[in-house]
Amino acid sequence: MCRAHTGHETFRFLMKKLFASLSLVAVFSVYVALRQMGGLPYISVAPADSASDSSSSAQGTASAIRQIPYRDGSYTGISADAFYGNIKVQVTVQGGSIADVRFLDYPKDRPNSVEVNTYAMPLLRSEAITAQSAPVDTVSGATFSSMAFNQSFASALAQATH
Amino acid sequence: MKDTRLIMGMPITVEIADAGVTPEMLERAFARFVAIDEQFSTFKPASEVSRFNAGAIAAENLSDDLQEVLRLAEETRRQTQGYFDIALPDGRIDPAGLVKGWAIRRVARQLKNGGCRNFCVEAGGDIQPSGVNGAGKPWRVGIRNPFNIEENVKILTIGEHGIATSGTYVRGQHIWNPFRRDQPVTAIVSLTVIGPDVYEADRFATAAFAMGKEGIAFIERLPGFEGYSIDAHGTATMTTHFSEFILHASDTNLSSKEYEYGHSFHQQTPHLSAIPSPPKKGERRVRGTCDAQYFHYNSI
Repeated sequence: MCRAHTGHETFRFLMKKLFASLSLVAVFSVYVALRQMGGLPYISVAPADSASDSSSSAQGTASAIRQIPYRDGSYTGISADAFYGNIKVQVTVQGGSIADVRFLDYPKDRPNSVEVNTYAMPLLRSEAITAQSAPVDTVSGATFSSMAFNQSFASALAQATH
Repeated sequence: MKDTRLIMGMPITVEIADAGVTPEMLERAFARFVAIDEQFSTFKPASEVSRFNAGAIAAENLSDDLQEVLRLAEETRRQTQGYFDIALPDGRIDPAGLVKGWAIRRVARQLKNGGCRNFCVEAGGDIQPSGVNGAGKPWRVGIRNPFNIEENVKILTIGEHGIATSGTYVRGQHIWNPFRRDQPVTAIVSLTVIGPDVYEADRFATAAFAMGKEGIAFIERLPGFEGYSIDAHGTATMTTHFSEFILHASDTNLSSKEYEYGHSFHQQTPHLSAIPSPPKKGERRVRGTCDAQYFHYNSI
């Protein structure tokens, strides 16, 4: 039992080490891609919809700081050695902001690497949120305020009864 | 036929698009929600959960429904390594974080058993669609913009899957990391999960949200689930196959393409490697103390 526990701890330690090195390499690859845009060290996180026609949409995102705007386009970082495979990312810029970061290459050719990959680095894509105008049947979101709903509900009923 | 009512402290909408729909079908659906509320609400002294918490009912005398919910809650607690827990520090239980999705699942099954094929049940932002809408098209589901509730940031068609969103933006901070009770989750403001059905989506959305930035990676590693998280800066992060559910602007003139649900999930039980480690290595987690894994989900 003690031996098994030690093995588990060793595994976790190795995973952490691998994840740390993987993160560094990924960050470096993104850095190189950004350097191609000449925008470092400022990373703009202004959402793409800040320039849209909806003024109210800016209320929650106005705090995002837009600094040096990037040139639009796709930029590919170097293929960086992550010890058990290479990592290469592509950054897409739209409207001066980072719209997408994709992994073009990542360690996936060896079973061991796949294990590490699924454990430590999911292939997550990022984008700035943008308002969609097409009609929908229903909306998923955090729970509505009951009080606000009640008020609206009551006022609607009041109109309905007059 | 569609109606919205306030039950369980939240707006619940049931829409039935079948040709032979009758008002009684809607009534039966809402009546089920009311019955579940009467049984599980911690705000109603006469509810079974309240009486159980008061020690008025022995565990062996609980109803089948409550026993099932307790079993599912324990299963979820294990699968999320304690990030989801209905146990309160004082020994009472609050199954609210689980009951919403479970209730929608129950009502959806009741509708199907009653012969309904095309319907959409939504409770507090969690949704179970089935079949097609009144226009004969797949139900279109929006993901609400957490910074402007009048807007959607994604429009999806999810087939028979369920979808749920956990967030902080409507009721203020209402989810805590059970391992760091002093720190409310702030980095992520909205996390949407698509799963095999709404119950599955709801429970993992709740747990993943409590994990903060790690939550979307947790969903990525969870077989059969996809997710879309939005952080406080308005940057979204999505899982690898989430985009297969997105209805793109070019698709909005509906075509037969929408009917091709190419996204087939691997239906597997979540496995251990999908569970992230707790935030602090070696941190003790003991049930029944102030530092116990305590999941606060004020959904009702």
